[in-house]
Amino acid sequence: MTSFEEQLVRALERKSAEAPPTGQLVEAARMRHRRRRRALLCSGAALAIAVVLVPAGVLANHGLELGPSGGTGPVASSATTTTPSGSHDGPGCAELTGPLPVPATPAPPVPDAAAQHLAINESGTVAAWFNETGRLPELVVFDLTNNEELAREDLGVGEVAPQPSLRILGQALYFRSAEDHDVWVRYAWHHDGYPLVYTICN
Amino acid sequence: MTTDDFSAYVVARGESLVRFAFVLTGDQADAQDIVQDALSRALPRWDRIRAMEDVDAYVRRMVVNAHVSWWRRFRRKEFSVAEVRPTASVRATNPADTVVDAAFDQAVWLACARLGRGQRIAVVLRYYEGLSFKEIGNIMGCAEATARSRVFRGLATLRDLLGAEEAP
Repeated sequence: MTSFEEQLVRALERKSAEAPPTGQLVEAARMRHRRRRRALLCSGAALAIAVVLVPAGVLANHGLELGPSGGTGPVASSATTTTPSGSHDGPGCAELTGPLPVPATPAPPVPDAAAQHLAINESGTVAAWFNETGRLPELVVFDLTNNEELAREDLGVGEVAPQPSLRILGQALYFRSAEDHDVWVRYAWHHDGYPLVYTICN
Repeated sequence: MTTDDFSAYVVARGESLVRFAFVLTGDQADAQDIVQDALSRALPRWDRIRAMEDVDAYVRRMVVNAHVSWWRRFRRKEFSVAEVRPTASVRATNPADTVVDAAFDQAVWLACARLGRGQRIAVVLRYYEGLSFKEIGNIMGCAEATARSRVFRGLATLRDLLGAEEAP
């Protein structure tokens, strides 16, 4: 091995120390495995995707308003019900209250509005919500500034808690795990919209 | 029993896998992602994997495959990085002359980011994992000669980028 190769080996070894913490790899792997299995089971099912994106600014046009930050309370639990008291306890985002929105501007076809637990970050640039599409809840992240979808991810049945307290902080969003309400599931989206990084934090 | 064994393996080897993935991808988030992806695929077939002679090698291969398949699936754009400017320490070929390790490490990192995907994987497997060309070929699904070629071409590119002298 030449001296340059030896230097290369040492440099790579030193840089590897900057690797991210392992976190809870076992739990993350198990959850991913379950999601993959569920997705396979449901892959034959027709999923009527209902995507509704209404920038915060147009919500008012539909008689909607954003819930206050900092409170707690129930949120809508199905696509067809509306919950007037929706709000959540997370900083930096707000949850949709009132009737579900109707597309106000040209948008993907939306047969039935099904957005739930809509959260918008503090600066109003990113929105995220769950779609109840068939059996699988679907997580959607949307760039409100550029009007483009950042990420879309099928979640497993029962993976999302009934009151997930969805919130957006920085480049990641968090929601409560259905399996353990004290566990927060974290998703971070990349600049190209995928993949979502899936980690669990307590 | 299987899940206990799987958990024990991940606890023991998880950090090493993430470090390997980090060197492989050059990105912390990607490293976490591909390791999680590989482990989630290993879990349902853990009974078979744990019976293998070299479990670690197999799982690392899964990590490499996850990296490759994600890259293919999402056709990641390759981003140009800042110009790699050889410094005195970078130019030095004698380790004793390398005073500023951090500067050299960063230059190597940036140079690795400019390698083609195949060359980077080959270089990492060779110089970080210390694998033989045959083992690299097995992991990358190519002939030993191809693996050797990728390593040497990657090394030559790194030398060029880092301004290092040609090996004798």
